[in-house]
Amino acid sequence: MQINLLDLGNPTELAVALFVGLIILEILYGWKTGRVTYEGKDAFASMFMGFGSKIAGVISALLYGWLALWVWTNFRLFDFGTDLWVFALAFVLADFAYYWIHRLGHRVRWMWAAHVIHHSSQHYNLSTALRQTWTNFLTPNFLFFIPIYFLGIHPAIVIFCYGLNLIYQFWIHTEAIKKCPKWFEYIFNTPSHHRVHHANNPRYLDANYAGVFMAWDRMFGSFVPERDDDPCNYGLVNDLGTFNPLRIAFHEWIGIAKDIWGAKSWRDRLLYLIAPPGWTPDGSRMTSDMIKAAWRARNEAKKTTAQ
Amino acid sequence: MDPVQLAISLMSITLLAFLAAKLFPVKEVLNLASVQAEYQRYNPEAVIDTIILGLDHKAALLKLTQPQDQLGIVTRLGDRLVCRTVGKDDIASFAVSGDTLTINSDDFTQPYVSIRLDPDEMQSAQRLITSFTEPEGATHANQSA
Repeated sequence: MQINLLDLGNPTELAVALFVGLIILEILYGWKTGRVTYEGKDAFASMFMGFGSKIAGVISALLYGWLALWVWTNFRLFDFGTDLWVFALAFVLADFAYYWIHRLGHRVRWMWAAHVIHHSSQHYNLSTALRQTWTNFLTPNFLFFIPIYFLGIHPAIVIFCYGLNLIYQFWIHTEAIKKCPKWFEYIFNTPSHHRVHHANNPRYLDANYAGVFMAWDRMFGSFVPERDDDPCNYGLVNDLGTFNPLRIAFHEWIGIAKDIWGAKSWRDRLLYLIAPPGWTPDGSRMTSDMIKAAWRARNEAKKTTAQ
Repeated sequence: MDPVQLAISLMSITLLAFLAAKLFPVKEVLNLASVQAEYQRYNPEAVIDTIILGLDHKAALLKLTQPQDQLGIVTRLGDRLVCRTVGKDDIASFAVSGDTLTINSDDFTQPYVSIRLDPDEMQSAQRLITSFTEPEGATHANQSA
């Protein structure tokens, strides 16, 4: 079955009405049961960030759309066409690319500066899913899709499948669903797995980067299950003190600029950009690795004392 | 970008946030127990000596035994708390106006923190801040004044 690429459209735009409907349902469910919490200003900030992200997305499309098409037109190894199986393949490959974008988005401060926005709420509800970056176009994220165009899948198909991937990720931002069936939890990203990803408990830092398929986390050693004895606390290891969207959008970029300005060597300037968030030459701030190491040491000390 | 679509989106966002605010009114979240618990959660190795709680329960200052040269600040943001540990270099200035102490810093997401205090606690708070923001001599001069 051949599909006309011009008919594809942007699936995230079509999903907006669904998002609004589900947020209303979740608010009412949380109000009725107390199992979900919202805060007006936090929800406004999250949704406004999503609004800004859609506008900023136009810049990314203009900057990188032509590049994608240029690679596909001039350098593709094959032409896979527009059969349904190509969409399925594109969906899996886009999810794989997403995994690495996301993983490096947590481990490289330059990429974190854009992604941190999504983690900056201390709440975890469907509005958090919409708290998205305005500065994706400043990151190298587009490079991760180049191999897919090079292979021979048309950029319109990849962008469409990536849109479906992002739509999938909307519903997992909730505390309303405790666990899904075991087989589903094994294969797919779920609210439970993604709660872990948004938690700032030391045990859960830098885990569960998957978009749709948990196989990537299981394969590359970043899977951590949610535990009843360590309930998730959401937000950053150094939470933001504002609901102001402009401050939310640019705070980490400002932080990088200040650090680079005050750095003593070119090595330090480079590392402020590409080392994990929290890196400093003198170790005065903590990276997630340092936080986890300190947490493990405390646990060991407790065990030793108990013995 | 369709302007009508943008306007509808903004209206929807405002209405949803309004609904959330109405159904989930912000409750009092900053008290001695919550400040201690939340600060220790983020800073498990810190040893808290004293907590100076603001009169309006919007902020608290924490005198620390460990680390000695730093100050804990906990502020309320909606229904959540935000914890900071600041040192001499983090505090740009501080000022007192009536019963309000304002601490200015170069923190981009929280450039200042205001805390309302009764007169006794205001003195304690000022002593606490000057004890590590000012040179040894100046601290003593301030205290004797």
